[in-house]
Amino acid sequence: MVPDPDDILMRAFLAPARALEPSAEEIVNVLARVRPASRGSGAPRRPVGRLRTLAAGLAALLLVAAAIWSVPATRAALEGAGESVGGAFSGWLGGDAADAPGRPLRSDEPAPAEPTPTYLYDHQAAREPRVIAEAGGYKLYSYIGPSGGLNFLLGGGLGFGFENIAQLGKAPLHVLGPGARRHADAEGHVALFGIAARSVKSVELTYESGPPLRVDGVDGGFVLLAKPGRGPQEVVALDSRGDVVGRQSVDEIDWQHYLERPRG
Amino acid sequence: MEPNSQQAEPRSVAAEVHRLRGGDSEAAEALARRGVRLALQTAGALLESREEASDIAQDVAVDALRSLGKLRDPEAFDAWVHRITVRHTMRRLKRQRRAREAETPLALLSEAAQPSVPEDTDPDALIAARQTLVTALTRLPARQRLALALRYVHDLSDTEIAAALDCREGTVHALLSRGRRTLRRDPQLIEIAIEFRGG
Repeated sequence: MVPDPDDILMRAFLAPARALEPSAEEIVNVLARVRPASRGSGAPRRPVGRLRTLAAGLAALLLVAAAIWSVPATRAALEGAGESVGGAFSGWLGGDAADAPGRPLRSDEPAPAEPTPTYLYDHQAAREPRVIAEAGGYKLYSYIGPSGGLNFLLGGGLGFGFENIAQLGKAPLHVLGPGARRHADAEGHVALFGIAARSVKSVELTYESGPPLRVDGVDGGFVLLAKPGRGPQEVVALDSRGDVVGRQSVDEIDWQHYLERPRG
Repeated sequence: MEPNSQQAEPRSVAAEVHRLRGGDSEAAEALARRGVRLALQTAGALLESREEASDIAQDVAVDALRSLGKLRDPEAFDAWVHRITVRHTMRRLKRQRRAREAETPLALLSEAAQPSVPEDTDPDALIAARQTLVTALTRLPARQRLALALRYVHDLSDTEIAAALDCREGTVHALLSRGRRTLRRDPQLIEIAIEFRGG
Protein backbone atom coordinates (compact mmCIF):
# COMPACT_ATOMS: atom_id res chain seq x y z
CA MET A 1 0.00 0.00 0.00
CA VAL A 2 1.34 3.43 -0.94
CA PRO A 3 1.57 5.69 2.10
CA ASP A 4 -0.57 8.80 2.06
CA PRO A 5 1.66 11.86 1.57
CA ASP A 6 -0.24 13.62 4.35
CA ASP A 7 0.59 10.71 6.66
CA ILE A 8 4.27 10.96 5.82
CA LEU A 9 4.32 14.66 6.55
CA MET A 10 2.39 14.31 9.80
CA ARG A 11 4.74 11.62 11.01
CA ALA A 12 7.76 13.62 9.98
CA PHE A 13 6.65 16.77 11.74
CA LEU A 14 5.79 14.93 14.95
CA ALA A 15 8.98 12.89 14.98
CA PRO A 16 10.54 14.93 17.80
CA ALA A 17 7.61 14.09 20.05
CA ARG A 18 8.21 10.40 19.37
CA ALA A 19 11.82 10.85 20.44
CA LEU A 20 10.98 12.25 23.88
CA GLU A 21 12.37 10.18 26.73
CA PRO A 22 11.63 10.55 30.42
CA SER A 23 14.31 11.94 32.68
CA ALA A 24 15.57 10.12 35.77
CA GLU A 25 14.03 12.83 37.92
CA GLU A 26 10.60 12.24 36.41
CA ILE A 27 10.80 8.52 37.15
CA VAL A 28 11.96 9.13 40.70
CA ASN A 29 9.07 11.54 41.23
CA VAL A 30 6.54 9.01 39.95
CA LEU A 31 7.90 6.19 42.12
CA ALA A 32 7.94 8.43 45.18
CA ARG A 33 4.28 9.30 44.63
CA VAL A 34 3.24 5.72 43.91
CA ARG A 35 5.03 3.84 46.67
CA PRO A 36 3.03 5.06 49.66
CA ALA A 37 -0.16 3.89 47.97
CA SER A 38 1.20 0.90 46.12
CA ARG A 39 0.70 -1.70 48.80
CA GLY A 40 -2.50 -3.46 48.06
CA SER A 41 -3.50 -1.20 45.20
CA GLY A 42 -1.21 -2.74 42.61
CA ALA A 43 -2.55 -6.20 43.20
CA PRO A 44 -5.66 -7.39 41.48
CA ARG A 45 -8.86 -6.93 43.41
CA ARG A 46 -9.95 -10.03 45.14
CA PRO A 47 -13.27 -10.73 46.75
CA VAL A 48 -13.48 -9.16 50.17
CA GLY A 49 -13.88 -12.42 52.03
CA ARG A 50 -10.73 -13.95 50.67
CA LEU A 51 -8.82 -10.73 51.07
CA ARG A 52 -9.88 -10.43 54.67
CA THR A 53 -8.94 -14.01 55.36
CA LEU A 54 -5.57 -13.65 53.71
CA ALA A 55 -4.85 -10.35 55.42
CA ALA A 56 -5.71 -11.79 58.81
CA GLY A 57 -3.47 -14.78 58.17
CA LEU A 58 -0.62 -12.60 57.02
CA ALA A 59 -0.88 -10.32 60.02
CA ALA A 60 -0.95 -13.23 62.44
CA LEU A 61 2.03 -14.86 60.82
CA LEU A 62 4.18 -11.81 60.37
CA LEU A 63 6.22 -12.22 63.56
CA VAL A 64 6.50 -15.98 63.22
CA ALA A 65 7.52 -15.65 59.60
CA ALA A 66 10.25 -13.17 60.45
CA ALA A 67 11.81 -15.70 62.81
CA ILE A 68 11.45 -18.67 60.48
CA TRP A 69 12.64 -16.96 57.32
CA SER A 70 15.54 -15.05 58.83
CA VAL A 71 17.63 -18.15 58.08
CA PRO A 72 17.80 -19.98 54.75
CA ALA A 73 14.80 -22.16 54.18
CA THR A 74 15.48 -25.83 54.75
CA ARG A 75 13.09 -28.69 54.87
CA ALA A 76 14.10 -29.45 58.45
CA ALA A 77 13.16 -25.95 59.49
CA LEU A 78 9.80 -26.47 57.91
CA GLU A 79 8.99 -29.78 59.51
CA GLY A 80 5.28 -30.01 59.96
CA ALA A 81 4.64 -27.27 57.43
CA GLY A 82 3.14 -29.84 55.09
CA GLU A 83 -0.23 -29.13 56.65
CA SER A 84 -0.26 -25.60 55.29
CA VAL A 85 -0.24 -24.33 51.75
CA GLY A 86 3.25 -22.97 52.27
CA GLY A 87 4.56 -26.44 53.01
CA ALA A 88 3.71 -27.58 49.52
CA PHE A 89 6.07 -24.99 48.05
CA SER A 90 8.75 -24.57 50.72
CA GLY A 91 11.05 -27.33 49.48
CA TRP A 92 10.95 -25.98 45.96
CA LEU A 93 11.65 -22.41 47.07
CA GLY A 94 14.40 -23.77 49.30
CA GLY A 95 16.18 -25.10 46.23
CA ASP A 96 14.85 -28.64 46.00
CA ALA A 97 13.31 -28.77 42.55
CA ALA A 98 12.47 -32.45 43.01
CA ASP A 99 10.07 -31.44 45.76
CA ALA A 100 8.15 -29.00 43.59
CA PRO A 101 4.43 -29.61 43.08
CA GLY A 102 3.03 -30.27 39.64
CA ARG A 103 5.21 -30.70 36.59
CA PRO A 104 7.68 -28.52 34.69
CA LEU A 105 6.24 -26.30 31.97
CA ARG A 106 6.88 -27.88 28.60
CA SER A 107 7.98 -26.01 25.53
CA ASP A 108 5.07 -27.64 23.71
CA GLU A 109 2.28 -27.26 26.24
CA PRO A 110 -0.73 -29.10 24.85
CA ALA A 111 -3.83 -27.12 23.91
CA PRO A 112 -4.32 -24.60 26.70
CA ALA A 113 -7.74 -22.94 26.89
CA GLU A 114 -5.86 -19.66 27.06
CA PRO A 115 -2.49 -19.01 25.39
CA THR A 116 0.47 -19.68 27.64
CA PRO A 117 2.10 -16.30 28.38
CA THR A 118 5.41 -16.13 26.56
CA TYR A 119 7.26 -14.64 29.49
CA LEU A 120 6.96 -17.97 31.29
CA TYR A 121 9.62 -19.12 28.85
CA ASP A 122 11.88 -16.21 29.73
CA HIS A 123 14.23 -17.72 32.30
CA GLN A 124 15.12 -14.32 33.69
CA ALA A 125 11.50 -13.40 34.25
CA ALA A 126 10.21 -16.78 35.38
CA ARG A 127 12.53 -19.33 36.92
CA GLU A 128 11.49 -22.98 36.93
CA PRO A 129 8.00 -22.45 35.55
CA ARG A 130 5.63 -25.27 36.40
CA VAL A 131 2.08 -26.34 35.78
CA ILE A 132 0.64 -26.93 39.23
CA ALA A 133 -2.79 -28.05 38.12
CA GLU A 134 -4.93 -28.18 35.01
CA ALA A 135 -8.45 -29.00 33.93
CA GLY A 136 -10.33 -28.48 30.71
CA GLY A 137 -7.30 -26.81 29.17
CA TYR A 138 -7.04 -24.25 31.99
CA LYS A 139 -3.71 -24.30 33.75
CA LEU A 140 -2.46 -22.98 37.03
CA TYR A 141 1.16 -21.98 36.51
CA SER A 142 3.73 -21.24 39.16
CA TYR A 143 7.23 -19.89 38.91
CA ILE A 144 9.95 -18.33 41.00
CA GLY A 145 10.33 -14.65 40.25
CA PRO A 146 13.56 -12.74 39.72
CA SER A 147 13.66 -11.70 43.37
CA GLY A 148 12.98 -15.25 44.61
CA GLY A 149 9.27 -14.80 45.27
CA LEU A 150 6.60 -17.36 44.51
CA ASN A 151 4.25 -16.46 41.70
CA PHE A 152 1.06 -17.99 40.43
CA LEU A 153 -0.58 -17.35 37.12
CA LEU A 154 -4.22 -18.24 36.67
CA GLY A 155 -4.65 -19.37 33.11
CA GLY A 156 -3.37 -16.83 30.63
CA GLY A 157 -3.79 -13.62 32.54
CA LEU A 158 -4.25 -12.91 36.21
CA GLY A 159 -1.20 -13.28 38.44
CA PHE A 160 -0.52 -13.40 42.16
CA GLY A 161 2.85 -12.96 43.81
CA PHE A 162 4.09 -13.83 47.28
CA GLU A 163 7.42 -12.57 48.51
CA ASN A 164 7.91 -15.61 50.71
CA ILE A 165 6.22 -18.74 51.97
CA ALA A 166 5.05 -17.05 55.14
CA GLN A 167 2.71 -14.88 53.14
CA LEU A 168 0.77 -17.96 52.17
CA GLY A 169 -0.36 -18.38 55.76
CA LYS A 170 -1.28 -21.48 57.73
CA ALA A 171 -4.43 -22.50 55.95
CA PRO A 172 -4.47 -25.83 54.11
CA LEU A 173 -5.91 -24.21 50.99
CA HIS A 174 -6.22 -20.86 49.31
CA VAL A 175 -8.69 -20.24 46.55
CA LEU A 176 -6.86 -17.77 44.34
CA GLY A 177 -10.01 -17.06 42.37
CA PRO A 178 -11.25 -17.23 38.80
CA GLY A 179 -8.85 -16.19 36.08
CA ALA A 180 -8.99 -13.13 33.88
CA ARG A 181 -11.91 -14.29 31.75
CA ARG A 182 -15.01 -12.19 32.20
CA HIS A 183 -17.50 -14.73 30.99
CA ALA A 184 -18.12 -18.44 31.25
CA ASP A 185 -16.62 -20.40 28.38
CA ALA A 186 -18.56 -22.21 25.66
CA GLU A 187 -19.14 -25.15 28.00
CA GLY A 188 -20.53 -22.84 30.67
CA HIS A 189 -17.45 -23.24 32.89
CA VAL A 190 -15.50 -20.74 34.90
CA ALA A 191 -12.09 -21.98 35.96
CA LEU A 192 -11.53 -21.57 39.69
CA PHE A 193 -7.89 -21.79 40.71
CA GLY A 194 -6.38 -22.62 44.08
CA ILE A 195 -3.39 -23.95 45.94
CA ALA A 196 -3.40 -26.55 48.68
CA ALA A 197 -1.25 -28.20 51.33
CA ARG A 198 0.48 -31.49 50.61
CA SER A 199 -1.97 -33.26 52.88
CA VAL A 200 -4.83 -32.24 50.61
CA LYS A 201 -5.48 -34.99 48.09
CA SER A 202 -8.91 -33.97 46.83
CA VAL A 203 -11.04 -30.86 46.68
CA GLU A 204 -14.76 -30.48 46.28
CA LEU A 205 -16.70 -27.48 45.08
CA THR A 206 -20.13 -27.42 46.67
CA TYR A 207 -23.15 -25.77 45.08
CA GLU A 208 -26.40 -24.32 46.36
CA SER A 209 -27.96 -27.61 45.40
CA GLY A 210 -26.98 -30.83 43.74
CA PRO A 211 -23.80 -32.84 43.92
CA PRO A 212 -20.43 -31.18 44.41
CA LEU A 213 -17.70 -31.12 41.81
CA ARG A 214 -14.81 -33.26 43.01
CA VAL A 215 -11.20 -33.27 41.82
CA ASP A 216 -8.80 -35.98 43.01
CA GLY A 217 -5.06 -36.25 42.73
CA VAL A 218 -4.39 -32.75 44.03
CA ASP A 219 -0.68 -31.99 44.21
CA GLY A 220 -0.22 -28.48 45.53
CA GLY A 221 -2.93 -26.90 43.42
CA PHE A 222 -6.25 -27.36 41.70
CA VAL A 223 -8.41 -26.08 38.89
CA LEU A 224 -12.15 -26.50 39.31
CA LEU A 225 -14.45 -26.07 36.33
CA ALA A 226 -17.21 -24.29 38.19
CA LYS A 227 -20.73 -23.91 36.87
CA PRO A 228 -21.64 -20.33 37.83
CA GLY A 229 -25.34 -20.89 37.27
CA ARG A 230 -25.44 -23.49 40.05
CA GLY A 231 -24.31 -21.04 42.73
CA PRO A 232 -20.89 -22.26 43.90
CA GLN A 233 -20.65 -22.14 47.70
CA GLU A 234 -17.32 -23.32 49.04
CA VAL A 235 -14.22 -25.32 48.28
CA VAL A 236 -13.64 -28.19 50.67
CA ALA A 237 -10.18 -29.75 51.09
CA LEU A 238 -9.96 -33.48 51.84
CA ASP A 239 -7.01 -35.60 52.89
CA SER A 240 -6.18 -39.13 51.74
CA ARG A 241 -8.78 -40.62 54.11
CA GLY A 242 -11.48 -38.29 52.87
CA ASP A 243 -11.49 -36.24 56.03
CA VAL A 244 -12.15 -32.54 55.67
CA VAL A 245 -8.97 -30.60 56.48
CA GLY A 246 -10.06 -27.17 55.36
CA ARG A 247 -12.70 -25.19 53.56
CA GLN A 248 -13.04 -21.76 52.00
CA SER A 249 -16.16 -19.91 50.97
CA VAL A 250 -16.50 -18.79 47.36
CA ASP A 251 -20.06 -17.51 47.46
CA GLU A 252 -18.86 -13.91 47.73
CA ILE A 253 -17.64 -14.14 44.14
CA ASP A 254 -20.07 -12.46 41.76
CA TRP A 255 -20.90 -15.61 39.80
CA GLN A 256 -23.83 -14.01 38.01
CA HIS A 257 -21.37 -11.69 36.31
CA TYR A 258 -19.91 -14.69 34.46
CA LEU A 259 -23.32 -15.60 33.05
CA GLU A 260 -23.78 -12.31 31.25
CA ARG A 261 -23.35 -12.59 27.53
CA PRO A 262 -20.22 -11.02 26.14
CA ARG A 263 -20.92 -7.72 24.41
CA GLY A 264 -20.35 -7.63 20.71
CA MET B 1 13.23 6.10 10.02
CA GLU B 2 14.03 6.74 13.63
CA PRO B 3 13.99 3.87 16.07
CA ASN B 4 10.78 3.44 17.98
CA SER B 5 11.76 3.52 21.62
CA GLN B 6 8.86 1.25 22.58
CA GLN B 7 10.42 -1.58 20.64
CA ALA B 8 13.56 -1.36 22.77
CA GLU B 9 11.76 -2.80 25.79
CA PRO B 10 13.62 -6.01 26.54
CA ARG B 11 10.81 -7.67 28.47
CA SER B 12 7.14 -7.90 27.73
CA VAL B 13 4.93 -5.38 29.43
CA ALA B 14 2.75 -8.20 30.75
CA ALA B 15 5.77 -9.71 32.47
CA GLU B 16 6.50 -6.39 34.12
CA VAL B 17 2.90 -6.05 35.29
CA HIS B 18 3.04 -9.52 36.81
CA ARG B 19 6.33 -8.70 38.47
CA LEU B 20 4.95 -5.53 39.95
CA ARG B 21 1.96 -7.40 41.28
CA GLY B 22 4.49 -9.71 42.88
CA GLY B 23 6.14 -6.75 44.58
CA ASP B 24 9.14 -6.35 42.26
CA SER B 25 10.45 -2.80 42.58
CA GLU B 26 12.40 -3.06 39.33
CA ALA B 27 9.14 -3.73 37.56
CA ALA B 28 7.66 -0.62 39.17
CA GLU B 29 10.49 1.43 37.74
CA ALA B 30 10.19 -0.18 34.31
CA LEU B 31 6.46 0.45 34.16
CA ALA B 32 6.84 3.98 35.49
CA ARG B 33 9.36 4.66 32.73
CA ARG B 34 7.11 3.12 30.10
CA GLY B 35 4.07 5.04 31.30
CA VAL B 36 5.88 8.36 31.49
CA ARG B 37 7.39 7.85 28.05
CA LEU B 38 4.09 7.04 26.35
CA ALA B 39 2.28 9.93 27.99
CA LEU B 40 5.17 12.31 27.45
CA GLN B 41 5.20 11.60 23.74
CA THR B 42 1.45 12.10 23.37
CA ALA B 43 1.25 15.22 25.49
CA GLY B 44 4.50 16.43 23.99
CA ALA B 45 2.96 16.50 20.55
CA LEU B 46 0.14 18.73 21.71
CA LEU B 47 1.32 20.96 24.51
CA GLU B 48 3.50 23.97 24.35
CA SER B 49 6.29 23.08 26.72
CA ARG B 50 8.08 20.03 27.98
CA GLU B 51 7.26 21.08 31.53
CA GLU B 52 3.55 20.90 30.80
CA ALA B 53 3.93 17.56 29.09
CA SER B 54 6.08 16.29 31.92
CA ASP B 55 3.47 17.26 34.52
CA ILE B 56 0.84 15.32 32.64
CA ALA B 57 3.12 12.36 31.99
CA GLN B 58 3.96 12.01 35.67
CA ASP B 59 0.32 12.28 36.71
CA VAL B 60 -0.58 9.65 34.12
CA ALA B 61 2.10 7.23 35.29
CA VAL B 62 1.09 7.64 38.92
CA ASP B 63 -2.56 7.01 38.06
CA ALA B 64 -1.68 4.01 35.90
CA LEU B 65 0.46 2.35 38.57
CA ARG B 66 -1.95 3.08 41.39
CA SER B 67 -4.89 1.68 39.48
CA LEU B 68 -3.06 -1.33 38.10
CA GLY B 69 -5.33 -3.60 40.09
CA LYS B 70 -8.17 -2.67 37.76
CA LEU B 71 -6.20 -3.76 34.71
CA ARG B 72 -7.46 -7.22 33.88
CA ASP B 73 -5.28 -7.87 30.86
CA PRO B 74 -1.61 -7.12 31.61
CA GLU B 75 -0.93 -6.95 27.88
CA ALA B 76 -3.21 -3.91 27.75
CA PHE B 77 -0.95 -1.74 29.90
CA ASP B 78 -0.11 0.62 27.02
CA ALA B 79 -3.78 1.03 26.11
CA TRP B 80 -4.46 1.73 29.79
CA VAL B 81 -1.82 4.46 29.77
CA HIS B 82 -3.14 5.97 26.55
CA ARG B 83 -6.62 6.16 28.01
CA ILE B 84 -5.42 7.89 31.15
CA THR B 85 -3.28 10.20 29.04
CA VAL B 86 -6.29 11.21 27.00
CA ARG B 87 -8.20 12.05 30.16
CA HIS B 88 -5.43 14.20 31.58
CA THR B 89 -4.51 15.87 28.31
CA MET B 90 -8.12 16.60 27.45
CA ARG B 91 -8.55 18.30 30.79
CA ARG B 92 -5.46 20.39 30.18
CA LEU B 93 -6.45 21.30 26.63
CA LYS B 94 -9.89 22.37 27.73
CA ARG B 95 -8.29 24.71 30.22
CA GLN B 96 -6.32 26.15 27.35
CA ARG B 97 -9.37 26.51 25.13
CA ARG B 98 -8.65 30.10 24.54
CA ALA B 99 -6.33 29.85 21.60
CA ARG B 100 -2.80 30.98 22.15
CA GLU B 101 0.12 31.15 19.87
CA ALA B 102 2.57 28.38 20.58
CA GLU B 103 5.59 30.13 22.01
CA THR B 104 7.99 27.23 21.96
CA PRO B 105 6.19 24.24 20.54
CA LEU B 106 7.53 21.10 22.07
CA ALA B 107 7.67 19.37 18.72
CA LEU B 108 10.43 21.78 17.81
CA LEU B 109 12.63 21.26 20.83
CA SER B 110 14.31 18.02 19.90
CA GLU B 111 16.24 18.18 16.70
CA ALA B 112 18.09 14.96 17.48
CA ALA B 113 15.59 12.78 15.74
CA GLN B 114 15.54 13.56 12.09
CA PRO B 115 12.23 12.80 10.45
CA SER B 116 11.98 10.96 7.20
CA VAL B 117 11.91 13.87 4.81
CA PRO B 118 14.06 14.36 1.73
CA GLU B 119 17.77 14.68 2.54
CA ASP B 120 18.10 17.96 0.75
CA THR B 121 15.42 19.60 2.89
CA ASP B 122 16.40 22.98 4.23
CA PRO B 123 16.58 22.64 8.06
CA ASP B 124 15.15 26.11 8.52
CA ALA B 125 12.24 25.19 6.30
CA LEU B 126 11.67 22.05 8.33
CA ILE B 127 11.60 23.97 11.61
CA ALA B 128 9.23 26.48 10.10
CA ALA B 129 7.05 23.67 8.85
CA ARG B 130 6.84 22.07 12.26
CA GLN B 131 6.07 25.41 13.83
CA THR B 132 3.25 25.85 11.39
CA LEU B 133 1.91 22.37 11.98
CA VAL B 134 1.92 22.64 15.75
CA THR B 135 0.28 26.04 15.59
CA ALA B 136 -2.31 24.60 13.25
CA LEU B 137 -2.86 21.67 15.60
CA THR B 138 -3.64 24.01 18.47
CA ARG B 139 -6.59 25.30 16.47
CA LEU B 140 -8.19 21.87 16.22
CA PRO B 141 -10.71 20.53 18.74
CA ALA B 142 -9.07 18.59 21.56
CA ARG B 143 -10.33 15.18 20.47
CA GLN B 144 -9.11 15.66 16.92
CA ARG B 145 -5.70 16.68 18.21
CA LEU B 146 -5.52 13.66 20.45
CA ALA B 147 -6.62 11.32 17.70
CA LEU B 148 -3.95 12.73 15.38
CA ALA B 149 -1.27 12.48 18.07
CA LEU B 150 -2.14 8.89 18.90
CA ARG B 151 -2.06 7.98 15.22
CA TYR B 152 1.09 9.82 14.18
CA VAL B 153 3.14 9.64 17.36
CA HIS B 154 2.28 6.10 18.50
CA ASP B 155 1.03 4.62 15.22
CA LEU B 156 -2.12 3.35 16.92
CA SER B 157 -4.86 1.74 14.86
CA ASP B 158 -8.42 3.09 14.74
CA THR B 159 -9.42 0.38 17.22
CA GLU B 160 -6.70 1.34 19.66
CA ILE B 161 -7.48 5.04 19.36
CA ALA B 162 -11.16 4.28 19.91
CA ALA B 163 -10.27 2.47 23.13
CA ALA B 164 -8.16 5.40 24.30
CA LEU B 165 -10.80 8.00 23.45
CA ASP B 166 -13.66 5.78 24.61
CA CYS B 167 -15.56 6.13 21.37
CA ARG B 168 -16.49 4.08 18.31
CA GLU B 169 -14.04 3.32 15.54
CA GLY B 170 -16.23 5.26 13.14
CA THR B 171 -15.84 8.31 15.34
CA VAL B 172 -12.07 7.92 15.22
CA HIS B 173 -12.19 7.76 11.46
CA ALA B 174 -14.24 10.96 11.43
CA LEU B 175 -11.94 12.72 13.91
CA LEU B 176 -8.87 11.86 11.87
CA SER B 177 -10.51 12.81 8.58
CA ARG B 178 -11.75 16.13 9.89
CA GLY B 179 -8.42 16.89 11.51
CA ARG B 180 -6.48 16.14 8.33
CA ARG B 181 -9.00 18.02 6.21
CA THR B 182 -8.68 21.10 8.38
CA LEU B 183 -4.92 20.91 8.23
CA ARG B 184 -5.00 20.46 4.46
CA ARG B 185 -7.00 23.69 4.16
CA ASP B 186 -4.45 25.65 6.12
CA PRO B 187 -2.82 27.91 3.50
CA GLN B 188 0.57 27.75 5.15
CA LEU B 189 0.46 23.97 5.40
CA ILE B 190 -0.54 23.73 1.75
CA GLU B 191 2.61 25.61 0.83
CA ILE B 192 4.68 23.37 3.03
CA ALA B 193 3.10 20.22 1.67
CA ILE B 194 3.84 21.30 -1.87
CA GLU B 195 7.41 22.09 -0.92
CA PHE B 196 8.05 18.78 0.87
CA ARG B 197 6.36 16.70 -1.77
CA GLY B 198 8.55 18.31 -4.33
CA GLY B 199 5.48 19.38 -6.17
